[in-house]
Amino acid sequence: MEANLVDKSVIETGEMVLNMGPQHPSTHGVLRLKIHTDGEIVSQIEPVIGYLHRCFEKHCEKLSYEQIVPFTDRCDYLASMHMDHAYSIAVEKLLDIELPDRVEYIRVIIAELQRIASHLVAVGTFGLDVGAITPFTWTIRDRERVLDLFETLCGARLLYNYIWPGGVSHDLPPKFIERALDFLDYFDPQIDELNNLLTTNKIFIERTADVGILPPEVGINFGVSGPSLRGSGVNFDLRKNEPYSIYSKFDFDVPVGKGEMGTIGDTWDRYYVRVLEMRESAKIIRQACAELPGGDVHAALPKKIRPNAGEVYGRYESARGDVGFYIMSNGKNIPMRVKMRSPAFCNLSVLSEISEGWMISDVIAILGSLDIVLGEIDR
Amino acid sequence: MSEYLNNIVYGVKSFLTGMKLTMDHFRNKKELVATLQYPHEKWPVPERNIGFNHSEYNLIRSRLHVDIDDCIACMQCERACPVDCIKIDSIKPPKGSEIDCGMTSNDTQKKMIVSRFTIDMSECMYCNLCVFPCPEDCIYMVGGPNAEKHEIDYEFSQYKRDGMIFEFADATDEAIRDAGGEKWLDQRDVKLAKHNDGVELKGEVKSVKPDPITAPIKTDTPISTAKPATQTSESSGELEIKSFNDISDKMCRGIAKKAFMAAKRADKDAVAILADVAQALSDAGKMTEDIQSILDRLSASPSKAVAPAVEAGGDVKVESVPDAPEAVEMKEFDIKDLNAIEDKMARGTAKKAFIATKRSGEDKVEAVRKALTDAGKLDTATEDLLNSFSGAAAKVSAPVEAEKLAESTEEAVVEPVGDLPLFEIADLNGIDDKMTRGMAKKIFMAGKRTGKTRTEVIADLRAGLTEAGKLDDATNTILNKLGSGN
Amino acid sequence: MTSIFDSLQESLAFLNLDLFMLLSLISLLGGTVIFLVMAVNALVAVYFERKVSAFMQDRLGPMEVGILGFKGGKKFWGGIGQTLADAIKLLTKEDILPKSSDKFLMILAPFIIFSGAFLTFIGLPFAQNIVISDFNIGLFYIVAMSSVGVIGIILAGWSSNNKWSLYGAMRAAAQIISYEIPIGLSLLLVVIVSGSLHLGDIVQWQETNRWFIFHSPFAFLAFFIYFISTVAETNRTPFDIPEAESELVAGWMTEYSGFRWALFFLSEYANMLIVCIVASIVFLGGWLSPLHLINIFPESWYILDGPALGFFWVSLKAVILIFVMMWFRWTFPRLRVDQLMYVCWKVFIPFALANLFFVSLWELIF
Repeated sequence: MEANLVDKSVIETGEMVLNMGPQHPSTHGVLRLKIHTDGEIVSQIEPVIGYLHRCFEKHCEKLSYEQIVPFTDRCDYLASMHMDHAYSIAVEKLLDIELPDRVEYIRVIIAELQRIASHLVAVGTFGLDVGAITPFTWTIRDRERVLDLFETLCGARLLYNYIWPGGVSHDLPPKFIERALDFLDYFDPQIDELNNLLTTNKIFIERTADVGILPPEVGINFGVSGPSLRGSGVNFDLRKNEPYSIYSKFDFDVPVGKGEMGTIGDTWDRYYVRVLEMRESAKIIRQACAELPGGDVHAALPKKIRPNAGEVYGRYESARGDVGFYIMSNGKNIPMRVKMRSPAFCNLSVLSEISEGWMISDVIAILGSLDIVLGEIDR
Repeated sequence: MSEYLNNIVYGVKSFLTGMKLTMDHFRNKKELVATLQYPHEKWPVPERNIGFNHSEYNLIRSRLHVDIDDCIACMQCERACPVDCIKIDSIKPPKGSEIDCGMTSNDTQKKMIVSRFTIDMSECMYCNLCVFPCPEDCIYMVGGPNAEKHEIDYEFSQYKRDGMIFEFADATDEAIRDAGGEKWLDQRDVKLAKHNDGVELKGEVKSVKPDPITAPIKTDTPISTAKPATQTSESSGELEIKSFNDISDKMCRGIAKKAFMAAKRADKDAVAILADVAQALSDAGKMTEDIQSILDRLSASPSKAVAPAVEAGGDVKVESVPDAPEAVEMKEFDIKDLNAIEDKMARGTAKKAFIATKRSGEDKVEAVRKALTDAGKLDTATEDLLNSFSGAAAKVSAPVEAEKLAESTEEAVVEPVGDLPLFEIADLNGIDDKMTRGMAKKIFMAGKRTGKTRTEVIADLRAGLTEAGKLDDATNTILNKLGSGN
Repeated sequence: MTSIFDSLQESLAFLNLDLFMLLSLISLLGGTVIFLVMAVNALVAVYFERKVSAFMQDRLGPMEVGILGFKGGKKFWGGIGQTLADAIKLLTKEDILPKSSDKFLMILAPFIIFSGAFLTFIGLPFAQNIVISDFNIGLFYIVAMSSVGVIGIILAGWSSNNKWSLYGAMRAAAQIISYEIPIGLSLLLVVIVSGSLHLGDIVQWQETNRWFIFHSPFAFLAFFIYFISTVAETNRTPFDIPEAESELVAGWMTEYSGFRWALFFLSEYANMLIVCIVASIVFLGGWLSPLHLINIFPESWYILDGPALGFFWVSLKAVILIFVMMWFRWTFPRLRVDQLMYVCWKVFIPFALANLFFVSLWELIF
């Protein structure tokens, strides 16, 4: 019967290679995907990266330790504070500096605010990827509030150069704590609104639940980290597992994917983990604001950073995952080598693995749920 | 089936929830709209008054500004900048001079004149790192807490990138010259000339002849100064194969070059070589008037004059050869020399007259003298000055003439004649001996810092190495090579 | 029933033209009217959509390009000239045809799509007697003509020689053809009850009885099936799979620019207007006032009916439906291709068929 319908000798079917990006609205930057498809079904994906390569690591070999901070800002431009913090932690380990309490508290408050801002973008653009435009504008509107806070803090809205090795560049401005708490009060209902509009929407669930399932063992094998891994039900968060800074003092939960709408580790879980993490971040900020001690934030700031020869590896839980800075010093004021472990790079590597057999529309949803930032992948 | 229906019911419910939400936003648009209509309204700039040492500190990232009166040229901001967008040049008045560089508002005595303080805001990444180390608080970002120092300016868009380069130094040329910054000014002028040439080349190709106003200005730059004596003596007496490049016909050029090589191998002198070339060309029946004139020129002007000119000017073609006396005069009496006239107005008159006669071929000294006499400004000092030039006109030296030949070729001379750009320090790596190399590099850096030219540096190197007894044959060859510009 | 065509024929009789000339003149006039309606509709609807989306998203939408001058230093009418400016921009834009495209088909495609929308307007009444030409099979004609556009979409996608455009075209073809079925089935229900394909007769039925949407629970359901299917038919969110901005960028329109793209745009908004007018005529009483909702009031109450007010009621109902379409668009995410087909074949068509059956029963019983 079928043989009569389609004469295979005349009509040939084959694999089609689709070139998605580097200029494409849903690749979150200048990522290029070579998608091998059979009709709409994806058989293989080859990500092509490097369009945003800025020689970050090579630059670091020519710049003094202080001067590298603005460059770390530009790695993950959606969570600049996290990058500064991660780098500063590594350098402080190298210098063996003890920080004043106030600095640590300020850093935690700022980092968690930054996590909220970064996740808001991730959640909003994920909605955009599956076709919902309104949640995006709402989350961006809320993120603006965080950026306003940061602007009062250090004058910059996106690339802060605020957290320095040995301290922070400025003390908190007056009323910052009040404003931050105001923001959190405003922000809680906004999450509910987002959940009503997007998270529980039937079409959204259809589009994301059971799609692009990342089994935990695959995630671990590929080095996936951060919310993308926690979406698969793996309870791994450096803030809990290897507490840095003063995170051990705070009481917060690590949300993991439970497969509420489908299977554990699907796209919806990865998305929802981020929504829940925003609430947890708010919890941490409230605690830190309540306990904020006084003191001089510049007490431990070294006049000149000139560490002894040695190597150090600093780990940090950024909004994308496990950021690492490996710094080698040869005793000069310029590092000999700086290597950065990019979480988004590892997260992207799993894309082909989990999107085989899904449709093109799903690839976009899966890519959105991994929340990559090309500035960090290409460096 | 029940799952199927449940799905539909859940779906409809969630759709209604979502639609109710968007409708709420639609209805309450007055309170909820978050847009700021930018050119009509602006966000308030965040205010804060605490920072380092709880003194006022800059907390806005807008345009960088420098209160140049307070700048002591300590270069801290330049060093702090990760992207090298700040460039500072300063001139230290010689010891014992009476020049007062002024005081800063913090009552610090300034010791230098800031001759250049440029910030390229198109390169700036607003990291604020330059602001912190400034001991005089004179570099800051405008607006915000600094509003009383400078009003906010974050809208400084430009149509051209050049517009993003902000120059803050306000020292006059006179002040710089007084402080002993002659060399710096010369270098700046060379750079400016190069820059202007570049700008012109980008646009339409202008007529080949430079316009009369720019021509004397060009000579104002140190293009014609200090023709390296060693270089000319080395290359003079040699008729170069390059000289024949002027022959336009390809075949003729080939014949001429062949003949030249043959004659040269036979160790003939310049005149004989030229005769050979002429013979070869006429044998081939290719002798035209143009070629004849070229050969005439090569033979008429002694080879030592032409060859270095061609060599020094690189590929610049010599098309018209002005008469030797005029060229000499042009060299000897330069517009720059008129700077020696003290009276400002007299200087202006003299320069004007100079420019007017520059291209007409008149005797400039006479013209200037006449103009000054007419204006009643001719005092004895000026008279002496002018006399010295008219007297000097007789002293014609070959290298000078050679330069003028190349320079007065009417093509745009991009590379200053005789002032080959300083070679790279890496070029010294050819020296084998470690100690010699180190010494050579040290001398090179010293020379570079003081802005010496290539020949001067090479002379320094020769002297320094000979003194230390390190000048062996290999090193000498390297220096020779560098001297000849290869 | 008379139509614009007939009345023009009568009023132009004094010109003493032969029949061919007369008909040509009338067709020209009618065509001009339709084109004006489409153009004005696109201008207004785009502005409307921009404002609706902006307010739902806590934005302001276009605010700068006003045409009515200033008021207190600010432009008085918030960006009302924006769509006009955009139209001028589109018409003056460079017309780009990709080198390796099939040029003939690529030029042809926008005109086919445009013709589909254009021809539909001929049989579409805006009020009683305000219709270009009055067909006695008006409903059938409209349904038939609104499917013409899909040929143009396939041609556009194919001739662009772009994989993404091809995807868009294939999706559009599958989607539009599928959703024709629930639309046809829901309209069939009306035809069964009123016994006519003539739109005037259908409104007549509603005048004597009640709005069709309240004919029976099944008719109520049929309205929603019809309306949601038309959202899919006009390629709007949540069914905007053919042009899915975040996947295919612009689908089958990717390679088009300038005037050709403007034609697509014009037809898209014209199609929106068409399906909404049809819905308001067939289900919501057409040019009848809302008092005909249940038709239990005394005769003297119906003073709100009439030729001029009829036009107002049709427009109002259509505008409300268009607003709902926009409301959908700015609230929902987008479905996937297979889910879209699922909704059509496994939800709408079974329900529409059941509806048809039950309405027939209803008619038998009552």
